[in-house]
Amino acid sequence: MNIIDLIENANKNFPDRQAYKFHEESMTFREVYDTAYSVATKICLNSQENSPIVLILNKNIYVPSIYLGVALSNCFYVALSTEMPKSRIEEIVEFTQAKLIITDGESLDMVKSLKFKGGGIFTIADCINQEKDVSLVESRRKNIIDTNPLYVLFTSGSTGTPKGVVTSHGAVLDYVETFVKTFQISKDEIFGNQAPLDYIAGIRDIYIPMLVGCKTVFLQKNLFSTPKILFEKLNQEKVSTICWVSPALALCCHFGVFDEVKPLYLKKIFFTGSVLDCECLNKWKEELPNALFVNHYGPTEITASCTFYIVDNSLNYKKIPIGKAFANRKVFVLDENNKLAKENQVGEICVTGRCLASGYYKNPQKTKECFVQNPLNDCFPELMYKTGDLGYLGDDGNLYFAGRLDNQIKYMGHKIELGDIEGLANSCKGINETCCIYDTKNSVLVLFYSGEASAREISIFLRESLPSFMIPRKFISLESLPKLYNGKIDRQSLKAQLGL
Amino acid sequence: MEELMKILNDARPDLDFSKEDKLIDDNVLDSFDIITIVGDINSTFDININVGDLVPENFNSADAIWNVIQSYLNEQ
Repeated sequence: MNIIDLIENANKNFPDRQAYKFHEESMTFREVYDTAYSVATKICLNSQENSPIVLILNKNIYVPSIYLGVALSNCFYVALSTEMPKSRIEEIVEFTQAKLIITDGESLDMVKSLKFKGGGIFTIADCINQEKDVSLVESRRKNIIDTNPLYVLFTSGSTGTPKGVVTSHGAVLDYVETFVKTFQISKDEIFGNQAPLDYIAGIRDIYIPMLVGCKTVFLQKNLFSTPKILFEKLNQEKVSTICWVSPALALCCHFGVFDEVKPLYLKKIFFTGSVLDCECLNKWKEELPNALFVNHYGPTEITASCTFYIVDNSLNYKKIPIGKAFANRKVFVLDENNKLAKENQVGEICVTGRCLASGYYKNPQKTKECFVQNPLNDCFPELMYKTGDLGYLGDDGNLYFAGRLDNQIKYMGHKIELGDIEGLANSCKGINETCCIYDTKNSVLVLFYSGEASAREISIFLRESLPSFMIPRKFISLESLPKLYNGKIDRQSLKAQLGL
Repeated sequence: MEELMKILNDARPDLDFSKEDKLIDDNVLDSFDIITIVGDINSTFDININVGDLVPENFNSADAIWNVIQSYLNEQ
């Protein structure tokens, strides 16, 4: 089995069911399948097998067909956000040595202005209007094996070698199948997609419909700035299931949207990406007492999520567990001596199983650091991913998240290395030193700095290289930053200034 | 208005709020900005902007936002 078999089965079993909807446009599984062959023909004619195809697309009804078209031609996609700074896009395109970029009409001018040696730039329209050459596509398709990459996903990080997580057909298939089985996802489900489609959380919304015949409604991004209209949209589309990053759920509580509109059809609510505030969870539970609430945990490198916890609606939580491993993967905690940690002892969360990514694209060194031989197994090769996340196994048999080994934070579901922001800010003219703190109370990134640069100058400078979610929204200028005895910046005292 | 401009400029010092009039429609502000800005407005003006007022026409420009704040202050 590979991902293409999914859509082929869908086309056989429920061709005329609606698969995706965006605004007023929708597509059936048959249309998705047919369109994928047109896209694949275009790609086969213009690129080598097993090569990266860069996609720079806004949310669009054709995105799933494009993904499948890339896969059908035995290539893999590198989906980049249209909001990524131009310099970063150029860096990644150069790094992957991609020869082909597919984009949409909206982004075409930007893409054409990129420094791009490959040469081939096509729009969605070019791809879907391509005359199909089924035998050409089949000659590629027969070569697909399920350890081939389906996509390479570049995680945030602004400095140094881009970090691209290579994920195989098999890993995605394993996740989708396990998810559907675990939560009994049926063909009547209607997903409301929040995550950008170039982001890991989007894989549920894209691939689950192909397996069970249900539908995903893509919600445009600015709905999340206007929660009331968002909830009205959920009702209008009869959305029954959402897999959203925790901050998107938090946003709805924060603005008290339940007082205005109640989601009438929501039955299953999956949250992931970062720790959800218990107060917020309680609010959701109170409003939707019969809904299923599930916490999810997992980094991109283990394909979407590896543990889940079903919330008990009768309990009041102080801390929501990340729960237990999904079927077909092992998730455990190792202490600093690489031994299994005892109950309640904090250690690093580690994962084995078919869900593991294949490694980092063209980055053997980083791959070797994070994907290692399972130290508990000295009998045969068994790959283990070290998440860099801290956790412990509680008395109740559930895993709990306990922070990061490094200075990484999760903001709105995005992994952010605070050092990346500081490193770049330090190179801004008129800045002496900086320290970036995540204000967890107000969900705001704060940059403390010294130097004569203005907030405006720093913000503009950072926006040239960083995506929006990595830009601090508060800049605090100090004469000099407080130091510890060893000369390092005293983060704790800055946190205290923010009342944290 | 001065206080509002300070809030807006703090959150997005890269923008010229006197000129922008499609802040939401054109995705100039994203949800990260809205959270910061609404939070700051609520605490600065001691009001509590209702989610029903978080609609594009109320947040597309600094003037529009100012009108929303005024309507809350007048109610008090």
